[in-house]
Amino acid sequence: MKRALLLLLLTGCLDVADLRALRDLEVGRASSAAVTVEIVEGHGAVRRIEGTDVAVWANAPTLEIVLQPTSTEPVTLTIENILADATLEGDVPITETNRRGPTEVTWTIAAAGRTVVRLTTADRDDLTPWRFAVFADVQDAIDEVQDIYTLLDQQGARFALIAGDLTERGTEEQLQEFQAEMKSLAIPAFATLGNHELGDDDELFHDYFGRGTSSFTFRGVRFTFVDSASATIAPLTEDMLVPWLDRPEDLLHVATMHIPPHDPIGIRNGAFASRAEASRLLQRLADGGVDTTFYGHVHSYYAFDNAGMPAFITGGGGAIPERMDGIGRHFLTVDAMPRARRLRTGLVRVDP
Amino acid sequence: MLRALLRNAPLALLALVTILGVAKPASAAPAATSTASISASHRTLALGATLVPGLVLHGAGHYAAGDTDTALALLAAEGVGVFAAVAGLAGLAVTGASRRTVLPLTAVTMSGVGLFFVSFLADVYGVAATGVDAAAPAPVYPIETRLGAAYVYDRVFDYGAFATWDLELRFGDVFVEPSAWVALDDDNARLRGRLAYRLVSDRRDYFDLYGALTHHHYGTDGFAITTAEAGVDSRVGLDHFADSLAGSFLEAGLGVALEGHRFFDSATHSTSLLVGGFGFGWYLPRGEAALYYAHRHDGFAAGSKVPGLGSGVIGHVGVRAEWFFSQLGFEVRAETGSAHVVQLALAYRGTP
Repeated sequence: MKRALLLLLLTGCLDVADLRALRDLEVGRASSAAVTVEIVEGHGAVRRIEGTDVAVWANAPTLEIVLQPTSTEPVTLTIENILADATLEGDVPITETNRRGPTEVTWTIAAAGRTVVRLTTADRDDLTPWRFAVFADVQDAIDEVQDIYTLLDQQGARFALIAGDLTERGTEEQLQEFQAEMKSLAIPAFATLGNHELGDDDELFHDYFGRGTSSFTFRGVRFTFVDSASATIAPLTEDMLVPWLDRPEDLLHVATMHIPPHDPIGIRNGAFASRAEASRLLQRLADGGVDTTFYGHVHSYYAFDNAGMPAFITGGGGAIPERMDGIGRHFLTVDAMPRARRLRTGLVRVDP
Repeated sequence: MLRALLRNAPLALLALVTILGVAKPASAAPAATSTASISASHRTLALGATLVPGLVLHGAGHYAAGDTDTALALLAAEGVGVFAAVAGLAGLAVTGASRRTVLPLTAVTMSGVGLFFVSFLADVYGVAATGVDAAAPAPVYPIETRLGAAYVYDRVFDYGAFATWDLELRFGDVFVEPSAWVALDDDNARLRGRLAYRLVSDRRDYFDLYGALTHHHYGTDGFAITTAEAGVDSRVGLDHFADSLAGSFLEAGLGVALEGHRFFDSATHSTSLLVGGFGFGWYLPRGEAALYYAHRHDGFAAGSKVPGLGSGVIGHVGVRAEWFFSQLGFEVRAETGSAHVVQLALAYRGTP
């Protein structure tokens, strides 16, 4: 099957991002002899499933998980990368059995037949102002990433968005190391992948973090991740965007992807391979009510406009910086004011 | 004054090669061990050598054919190319593709890659065609025009079939070149006007300064791109460097552009674009053919989508050929980048 797809890729019938878009659709589904698990809309990755023991990496602040056990044995569900005040709710008895740090909790669920459980927070529909953060491009600077996390935890952000290039080559060891380093963070961080996750196997990211393209809402803001790691988006990915862009909802909308459609320094083209495809996507995002776009890939900070939408490049996670720009390591804080329909972005420098 | 200086300047972008002294002295007699004087079986062996080890050691074909001088010149050109490409890439890495240095470093990298490929193709050409009885280049005609059809296979856009037209008018050293591509199955049209001034010309070689204005209307997709560019284009006959390369030529160019993206329902933003590239071609008895690389990310073929880390940077590649049977002829062109483009045109040229 994979060879056939590779052949289609080589003959030009598939684009480089098509296989990942197909992979997105499989994310969040797994089964063992004892239980079947589905994370609705692929908002997380099933990291382990052994008997009724299930471990999930959340890639959104709230999750809906469907469990289908084959016996009456309780399901043990561990969810990593969650908000510290998140709770698990359902129509069956649920008991918190273990808490490892602020972002990892294990529950025992007396699941019976098809059981739906929901990871949620008390403030998920609160429309008062709140804050999130954005960073990208840690790559080979993983050993210094705690400098960023220490500052990040001081910003009062509910969670962070990672705009790709978490690792240098996306190997299993590097993805594991990145998740291990995240354990010190008091807040979760939700990610899409960058081109550096494509170094060895461009589907490993999905095993560890979840979909490259996904969307969720939280506190009056829709967050949409787009997989642009190959300097293009797959036609299937564009189809996935349709319900999120065409939905009539009174929400702020933030789009995050790794490679920006247009590089403000166009002669460099740290951007989509095709200028026309880039403009087509931007037109689609602007039409779909996206308020602000966040990107990585370029290891500096840029604030500019694309198709009338404010755009920010924040590639300050520690990878080789753009020299002579006076920026260095940094991340962004974003104050969301849903009632006022405003987003206010601030730059936080990590290095003095 | 400027014109005089440029007339005496090293031709086009082959300065690196000439500096190394690999160019053939003007008074040199044809080499005694010309690739033309070998037997058919010897030539077959030499052609094999252009691939193994010639893919790695450029000039191996000429060496096998007994033309050591040209072999060493091609090997030197390859070495310079590799050095320039590695130096350019290293510079880009060290500077983090800084906005202040990205233009010269990209130009050096592109020149290096160009020398690498051209030295390989020249080896194959010199062994296969030998330079004996090489076709002469056509004179420059006061008027040339082409009317054709093209098909663009692009999974992102709806268009496919195009009617194409272009015109080249020469007034002394000034060239005026309007062209148009109009979609037959979509609301899409690309109109371009190019104005060039020939600073250096000795029939087969030229060095042009040019400016161009392009407007590409994507009506179905709700945007348009307008591009103003300026740059240099050049062609150098490779018979300057070896007898066996008579009838072949190198093309090189470099330019920058300012691009305005207008979104019909929202806003306008602008960015820049690096243009240019290189090609290797050869004259046919009544025409010419060339393989080329264009570092463009606009237009129909745009940049290439490649698997792995490097997507977005590389432009597109193409092949073109023209053949005249009288004042009428044909031109065929194929390009591949983000999209695949084929074009067939009926050509007419006036009397020189």
